[in-house]
Amino acid sequence: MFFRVENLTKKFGEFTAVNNVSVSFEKNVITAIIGPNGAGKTTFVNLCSGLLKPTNGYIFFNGEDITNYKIHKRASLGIARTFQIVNIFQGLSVWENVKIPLLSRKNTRDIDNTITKLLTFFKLENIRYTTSSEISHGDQRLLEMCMALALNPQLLFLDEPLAGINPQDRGVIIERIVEMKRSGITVIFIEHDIESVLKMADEIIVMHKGEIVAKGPSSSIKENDFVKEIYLGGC
Amino acid sequence: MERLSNKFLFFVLTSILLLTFALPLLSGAYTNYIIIKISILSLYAVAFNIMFGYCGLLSFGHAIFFSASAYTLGVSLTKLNLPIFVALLAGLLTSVIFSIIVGFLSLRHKEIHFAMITLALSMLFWGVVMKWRSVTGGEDGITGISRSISMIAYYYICIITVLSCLFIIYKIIFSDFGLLLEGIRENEIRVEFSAHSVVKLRMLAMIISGLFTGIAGILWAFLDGAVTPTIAHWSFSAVPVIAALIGGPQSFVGPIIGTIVYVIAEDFITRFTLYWQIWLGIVVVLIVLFFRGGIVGTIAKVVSEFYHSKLREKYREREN
Ligand SMILES: Nc1ncnc2c1ncn2[C@@H]1O[C@H](COP(=O)(O)OP(=O)(O)O)[C@@H](O)[C@H]1O
Ligand SMILES: [Mg+2]
Repeated sequence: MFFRVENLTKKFGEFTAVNNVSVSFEKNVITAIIGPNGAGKTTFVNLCSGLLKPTNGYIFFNGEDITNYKIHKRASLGIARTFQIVNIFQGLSVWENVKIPLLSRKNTRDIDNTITKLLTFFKLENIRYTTSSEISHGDQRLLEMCMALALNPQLLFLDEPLAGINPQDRGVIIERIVEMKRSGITVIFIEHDIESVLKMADEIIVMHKGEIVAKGPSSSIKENDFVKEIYLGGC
Repeated sequence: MERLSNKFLFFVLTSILLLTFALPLLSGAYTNYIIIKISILSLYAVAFNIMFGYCGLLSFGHAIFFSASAYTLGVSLTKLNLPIFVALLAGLLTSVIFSIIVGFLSLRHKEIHFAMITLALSMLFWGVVMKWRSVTGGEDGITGISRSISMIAYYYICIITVLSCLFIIYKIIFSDFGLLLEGIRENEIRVEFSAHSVVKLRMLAMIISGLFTGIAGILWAFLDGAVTPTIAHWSFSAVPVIAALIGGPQSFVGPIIGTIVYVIAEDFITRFTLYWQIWLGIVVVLIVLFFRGGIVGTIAKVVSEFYHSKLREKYREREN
């Protein structure tokens, strides 16, 4: 199995944010994690990417137990992520932002060319020397994905990649995400906007109160009663 | 600001170079002494600032690295009668070893915790130096370190060594490694998620910082031909802190300018009063309160504001 968690639990004091979750992810499938605010989606991604230590449970990547691996170790194994709130090097140029993750790859011979290619892929090449705090929010989201892609990841977590993006600007980001999946990256993303979710996801996981309450192909998940009730509401 | 200080650095370096090379021919021994002191302490401050300005870590432990090499050199030459070559190497090695030890104990912590741990280690080191009389000479220190070259030759060796070291540090800071350090200062977590070990990068920075501080310590030991415990005292760890704050820790030349001001002010004020530290304290407090970027930062700000207002004028002209 490509990526798998077993009995994953995270408690903050008395409060259980992720409760005994066991789930596995296939290679080269886009999975969406949906669920109401506070369901534990971000916490789940934080556990998988190493930002938080689980209270209980295990995480396996390509058969390797990575539960106790530090963030940078997981990243060098090929697990990349973005954050719900844009998390980039605000004071550095767009170019430097992409260079930093690239510097961790020892086999990147022609680093300047690789950066140019990555920036072109995300249509950021025209603002490459701009300080990243000065670019638009949408471009910052793209830049953060570009930084994640620079790691040449196998597994990519995106925490609400469309948060704060105008509906008319979402297309570019959605397109890039689907394109990344086509290039062989397994994408797991959190998203609220159900329309966008259905455009991208092959699989959907529904979280509620720290637990996975439904999982299935996106075509069938809409029919799930529980999902209708707690998430899709009027749909 | 960096680009500005690059030009500034070039200007400063060339002027320093020309001036300092000509000076021994023109001026007296005292001026030469002050210049050597400035150049050694500049190297000390710039090496320290790798941690402070570029890693965002305020170390109060750099006197350890400075005096470790100086003492090792002194002991090797005066007590063990080792060849100068070996003594130099032993001195540098000791500084590196101490930077690894201090780094290992402190680098998992940040901000005030890092500062306090390095300060505590600095005090501990001072205690050992004072008590371990048989090796360090206690309060008396180590005397009789022979330069075996003329003062003028020593002068030039000092200047050339310091300039080469500054050049190397400059290259390091503006290399890919320097970019990673800048990244850590900006957003530590993002560097970790970029598959770099922050602790490892900081350790490397600490070793580089300790090594160059050690070189400064060795040059210092030859200045008076003696090593006194003053340089092992934790307050000597504060010297580069003050120099960096005065000159501006965010730029490469800041600590150098700060050192020049510090040494000249010390020399000048002590002519009138023994309590020169009071005046120094007042100056530092004023700078921290009102000129955050130090001298260089303030100049850069003024220049860039001037430049921007010029630009604005141009735009306005075009619009009218
Ligand atoms: N560091 C933390 N400390 C305490 N509680 C937290 C922390 N992080 C998240 N939580 C709580 O855990 C729950 C799940 O949060 P989160 O995973 O961010 O939800 P989601 O991303 O699904 O909206 C929330 O109730 C939140 O308040
Ligand atoms: Mg969330």
